Amino acid sequence: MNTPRRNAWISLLFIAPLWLIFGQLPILLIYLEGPSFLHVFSFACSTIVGGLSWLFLLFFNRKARKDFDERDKLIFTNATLAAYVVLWLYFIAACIYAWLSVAPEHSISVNVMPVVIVGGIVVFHLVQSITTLVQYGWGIKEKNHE
Amino acid sequence: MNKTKGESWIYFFLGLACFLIPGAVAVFIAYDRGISFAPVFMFAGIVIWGGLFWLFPFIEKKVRKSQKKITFDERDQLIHKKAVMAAYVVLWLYFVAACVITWCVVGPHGSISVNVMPLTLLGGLVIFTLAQGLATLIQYGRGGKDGEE
Repeated sequence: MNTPRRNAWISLLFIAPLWLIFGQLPILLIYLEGPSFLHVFSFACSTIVGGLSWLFLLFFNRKARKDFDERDKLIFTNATLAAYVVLWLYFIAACIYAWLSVAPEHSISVNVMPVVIVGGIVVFHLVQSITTLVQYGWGIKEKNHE
Repeated sequence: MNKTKGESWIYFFLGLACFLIPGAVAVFIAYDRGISFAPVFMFAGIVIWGGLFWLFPFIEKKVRKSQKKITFDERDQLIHKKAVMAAYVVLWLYFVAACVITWCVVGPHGSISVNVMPLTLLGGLVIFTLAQGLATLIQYGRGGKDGEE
């Protein structure tokens, strides 16, 4: 199994579920203990890292770049773009659902916004890893990489 | 200036007016007259069309595969993909910033009008369009020095 495919499996089985469970923790902490700089800063940093972790893999990780040939790069780019398409549709769906379930003249808790953002990270990782695995053919052995 | 670059200039200026104004009008109609099918459909159509408009050159290329004249070559595709990815990075940062700022201003026990969400989405669309247009123009070098007339 080559590195990009292994990363996709790790993302699908560990990173997305972990984000789903522990991503809500800073929101709960801020709700219970009130907003402090540390909590808000950690939330902002973790969401930025969670949403843009693919940049690290593509541009900064030298070890991963060595294993990346042109085909891997193309697959990774296509998976990232597909994940962003689904992420955009998820944001639209979340927004319209909130709009329809609560009448336009009413209000919603401000905590809905960070929850939607964390949900977006989960959706992004899920779609990106599934798309990567689909493009590699799930578990089919490749002559070039095995 | 080649066709793609020309399109990105058009996208840069007209995109904003085409997405922002009708989208804001849809939110205003829903707020003023209550929720109904027409403004929600209008809003959904605008944000889906606007946010996924970057797929159009790829679809157009597949549809016009039989034509001999190439208007969207490998280099254009690479530039377009890079610009879209850069725009999505900016869009993500905008969403995180919008969320954290609202959270800090209102406080975790406060509430916001539900209209803030579609308006944030529209803002995201504008940011995405601007960032994509700008990234495309920067990659082409803004001027006309791309070997074409």
